[in-house]
Amino acid sequence: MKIIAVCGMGIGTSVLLKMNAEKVLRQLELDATVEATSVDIARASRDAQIILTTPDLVPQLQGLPSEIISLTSKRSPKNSRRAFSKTRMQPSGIG
Amino acid sequence: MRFEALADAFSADSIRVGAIALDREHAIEMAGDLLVASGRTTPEYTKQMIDALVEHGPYMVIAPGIALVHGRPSEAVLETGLSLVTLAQPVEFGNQANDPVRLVMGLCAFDHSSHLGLMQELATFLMDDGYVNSLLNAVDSEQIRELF
Repeated sequence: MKIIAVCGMGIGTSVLLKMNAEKVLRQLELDATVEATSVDIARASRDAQIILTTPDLVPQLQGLPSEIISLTSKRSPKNSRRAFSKTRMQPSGIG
Repeated sequence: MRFEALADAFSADSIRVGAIALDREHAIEMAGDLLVASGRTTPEYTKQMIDALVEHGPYMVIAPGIALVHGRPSEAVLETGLSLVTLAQPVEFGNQANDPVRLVMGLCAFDHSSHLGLMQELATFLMDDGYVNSLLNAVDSEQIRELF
């Protein structure tokens, strides 16, 4: 499972998104890699199952095969957890 | 808890408390000016931060009241760093979920990876309401520096 965390430049917001996502993925025992990247690079990418971003950038990411999750606040991993629970992602491993 | 990477990222001239910003561009300019004053960027970087807002919208308001403004790694970045402006009057950035902004942080990264330790500390810091409130209520930059 590949997730890309996307912001305008790929160094600020996306890095915060990535950090929260990794924390939640560990808690949920989900097996996935998360990369922080810019909108431009994300638009050319086809291999991510999930795009994690912020509501303002969603229109710039339409038309890609990835499922898009947008989060309003990057502070709280709780938001990331709620978001992941709504996706197709399934826990890895047994039990 | 100590935030060593955060303490390093802020230099003596990079914190401003209780500033008055006329609008969001002005608020970003102030954060950019502090990066320039502390030797982290050239003035061109401030322009790039404002361009990012125009190009991608106000997504950089990362949490209620908090904007993390930045451009991309470029020749305008001399060294990875942070600046910080607390606003006396909150400013609208146009971010529906997280407006108005009371705290503007300017970030410059020399490349795509050397600031990741710093971001980890920044995320930990910003996730703590106690730290954020202390920062917003600080009356001078010294009080803010003591938080790191």
